[in-house]
Amino acid sequence: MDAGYADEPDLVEALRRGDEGAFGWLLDRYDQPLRRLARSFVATTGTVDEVVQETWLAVIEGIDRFEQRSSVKTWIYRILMNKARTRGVRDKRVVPFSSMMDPTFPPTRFLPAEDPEWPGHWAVPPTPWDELPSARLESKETLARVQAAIADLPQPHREVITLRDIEGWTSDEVGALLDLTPANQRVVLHRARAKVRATLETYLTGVAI
Amino acid sequence: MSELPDQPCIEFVEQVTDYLEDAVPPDHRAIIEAHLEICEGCRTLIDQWNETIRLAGRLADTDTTDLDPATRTRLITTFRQSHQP
Repeated sequence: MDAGYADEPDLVEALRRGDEGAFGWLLDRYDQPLRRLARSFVATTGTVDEVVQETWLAVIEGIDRFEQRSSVKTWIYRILMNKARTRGVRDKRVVPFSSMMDPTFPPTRFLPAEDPEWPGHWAVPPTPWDELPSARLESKETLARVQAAIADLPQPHREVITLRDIEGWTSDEVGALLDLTPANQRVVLHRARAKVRATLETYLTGVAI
Repeated sequence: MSELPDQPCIEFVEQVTDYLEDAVPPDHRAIIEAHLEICEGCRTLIDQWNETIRLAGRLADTDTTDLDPATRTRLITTFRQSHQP
C-alpha cells in the first residue's frame, strides 16, 4: 500500500464512502496491469477494453459486499479473471498444449548417455549474451520478441509468467490468485521461461531450437 | 577434489527455476553448486534465465496502454452515482 492509504481497511473505507480520489487511485494503479493480464485471455484489443471496464464496474458494485478475506488487489484480479475466462470461451486462441511438455533444451544439445567422459553434459552450450551490444539486448525488437513469445504460451503459462515476471508478483500472491501450489506454479513458470529464453536465444544468437 | 556426485547438465536445466526459487533441498543444492563451479555452460544458462526474467519485467514499463481519459471520467462518474442516495 502507498500514497495515502495507510492500510487496506483505510482504502476499503474510503471506497465505501464514495471517495473519488480513492477510486481514481485504484484506476491509475491497476488499470494498466489489468489490461496486460486481460490480454492473456482474450485476443482482441476491443475485448480487452470491455473486460477491464466490466471489472471496474463490478468493483464499484461489489465494494460494499467485499469481505476483505483477500487483499483488494487479489479481489480485483479475481473479478478480472472471472470476466475474462467467461469471454475466453468465446474468444479462444488455439495453442498446442503438447508443446509445453518439451524439455527445456532438445536432447541434441547434450552429449549422449553413453559418452565415456561427460554423459548428459553440454554438447552445444548456450552462448553468453553479455557479449552482445547492450543496445541489441535492450532494443524494442528484443522486447517485442519477448512479448510475442509470452503471447504464444498456453493460457496457464501466460498467466503465471505475466504475474510473476512482468508484474513482479510474489509466488505467494500468484498462488493465492490462481489456486496453484508452489510446486505446480514452479513447473508452469519453468516451462514458460524456457520457451521465452529459447525464443530469445534463437533471435539473439541464431541457435535453432 | 569434490566428493559430491556430479549433476549432468541435462538434469540441471530442468531444475533451474527450482534452484533460483530456492526450492531444492540443501543436499541437492550442494550438488548443483558443485556442478556450477565446473560448468560454464550451466552458469551461462543461469545468466540467461535471469536475463529472460529481467526482459519480461521491462514489458511492465514499455507495454502500456493508458486508460483513455473519456473512459476514466465515465468510470469516476459511475462510481459517484453509485454513492448517491
